Amino acid sequence: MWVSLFRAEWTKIIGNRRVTAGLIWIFPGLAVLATIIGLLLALFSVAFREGLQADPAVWTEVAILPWLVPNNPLGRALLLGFAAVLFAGEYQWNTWKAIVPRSRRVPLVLVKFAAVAAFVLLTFALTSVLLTLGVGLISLAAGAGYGPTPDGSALAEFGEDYGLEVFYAFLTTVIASGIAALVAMITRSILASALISILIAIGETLLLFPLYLLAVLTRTEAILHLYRFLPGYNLISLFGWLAGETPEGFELPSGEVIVDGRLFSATVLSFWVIGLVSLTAYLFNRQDL
Amino acid sequence: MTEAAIQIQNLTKHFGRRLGRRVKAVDDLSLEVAAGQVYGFLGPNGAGKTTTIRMLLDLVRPDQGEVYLFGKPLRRERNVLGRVGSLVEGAAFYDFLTGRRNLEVLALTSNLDLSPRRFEEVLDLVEMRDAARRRVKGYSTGMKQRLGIAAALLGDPDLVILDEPVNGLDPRGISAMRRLTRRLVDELGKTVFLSSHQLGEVEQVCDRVAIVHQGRLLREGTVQELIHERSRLRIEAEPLTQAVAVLEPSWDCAPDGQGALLVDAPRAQVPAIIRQLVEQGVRVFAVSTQKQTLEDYFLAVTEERGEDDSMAEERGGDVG
Repeated sequence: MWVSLFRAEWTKIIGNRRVTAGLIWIFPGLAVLATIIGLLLALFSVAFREGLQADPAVWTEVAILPWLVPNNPLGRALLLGFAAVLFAGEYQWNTWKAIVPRSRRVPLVLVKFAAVAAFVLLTFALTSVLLTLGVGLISLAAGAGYGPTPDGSALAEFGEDYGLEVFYAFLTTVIASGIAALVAMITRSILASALISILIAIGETLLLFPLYLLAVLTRTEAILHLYRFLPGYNLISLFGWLAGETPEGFELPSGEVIVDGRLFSATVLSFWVIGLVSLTAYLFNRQDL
Repeated sequence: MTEAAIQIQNLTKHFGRRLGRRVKAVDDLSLEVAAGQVYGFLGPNGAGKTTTIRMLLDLVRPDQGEVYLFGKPLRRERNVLGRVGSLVEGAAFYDFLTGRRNLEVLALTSNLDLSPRRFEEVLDLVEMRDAARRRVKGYSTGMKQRLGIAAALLGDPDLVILDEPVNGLDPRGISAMRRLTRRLVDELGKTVFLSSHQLGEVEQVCDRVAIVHQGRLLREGTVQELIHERSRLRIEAEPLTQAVAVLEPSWDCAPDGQGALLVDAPRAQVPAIIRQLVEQGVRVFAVSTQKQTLEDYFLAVTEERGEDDSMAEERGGDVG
């Protein structure tokens, strides 16, 4: 049943070419475009060739670049839009009424999450491969190096970094899908779901200011600790740790700076993933369609 | 005894709030649909037909009551929906996919491993085999409706629930739909539960019908039973004014403008009416029964009920 449901969902995603092209295929498309531009520059610009020879690209860094997209506001907005189309589309196109009598509701919605995540991750993986190969071609054309040598230790280190970035992109995608799915269930409109989800995603990261104000006015510093449990804060925090930097965190009125560890952020985000998916499944199971 | 394909027991559903009170869409509705027949489910707009159908398909959860499909309680044995095909309130598809691909998605969702031949069979049945190669986006309403019927029949269901299936179909399509509906029952042994506003079609195709109004069951029976329950008599009598005076207290009656009197009364009452007129000195020359259609019957009972409800509302009663 699960495989069959997944195939159905996959067929719908692949078939909705306009949406996948505009919101998701754009990433591998950009990788190809960047390669073409880079090749042209390598062939016709001496300055570009010399620049690349002086500061050669590193394939372990290039391969990870596409996975940084979810941390970018535009990238996250595209993900939210994509999830909104997939979840709210069933309401707007009135297709739940054809589907729901044919299968149990919880598997239907869980498979949707799985399909969105799988499709996004596969696309980023494809983008990563295209970009790595593309920059390799550019380096070759420019006569520049393209290290490091893929020996055991380099590959092991790369594998760990890559896995963490994939995990990060997975968390971001599922959280974005969860927000979009919940909004879709309420609004039943693609446009409203996309816009409201994006507003929530942006608004949530800006919540620090009103919380700060409230903490100062009520002289209750503990209020600010709520911010530590929001997904946006923890995504930024985790991203910082994954990039090998200490995240900035945020400052309490007392001057104390809060910086949460990698494990804390990963745990909070995991709770958000489980919570959003479970809540969506629970509400969908009770919803009149 | 014939197995009941559908059993609805005391089904009730409220929606939201309007003017401070919850709207009762379906009100303590009970009915039984025996297998192997075309069952018409009629009612004016807002009567609760589609809500009832949605509860039959687990799209809407009832507030009270139970739905049994083939004797199994839907709430506890949802798998019984695997024996049901449906088309609810107009066909809905992914318009970016082809007709065929839409059917494949539905088959996958149902976990049905169908042969390519099965897709062709159902598409042939609705004359959509060629058009199914094109994207649904370019389909007319009628084509979508036909594809919806193909989708309903895809899993070879025992019970087919069709909500307004002829909407958007041209006369040829309506006629084909009528033949297909009868064929499903007469040749393939299925049960069809049909909701429609096309009362002429319902009269031709249905074995039994139920009429609902404001969420409640008003009448249920075979088409012939219902039509004959209320017939219109044409009585040629003299003097006409006296005939009206005699019958008016008991029956709805009015002169037809051509020297006769039209009386809404069951055919079984003809001897009593004649006796009553003759006893009061009215000379009766001829009595004939005007053929009633299901539409006449439907309009009469729903209007009558509407008037009753208005009166009840004026008295402050809850008509739900």
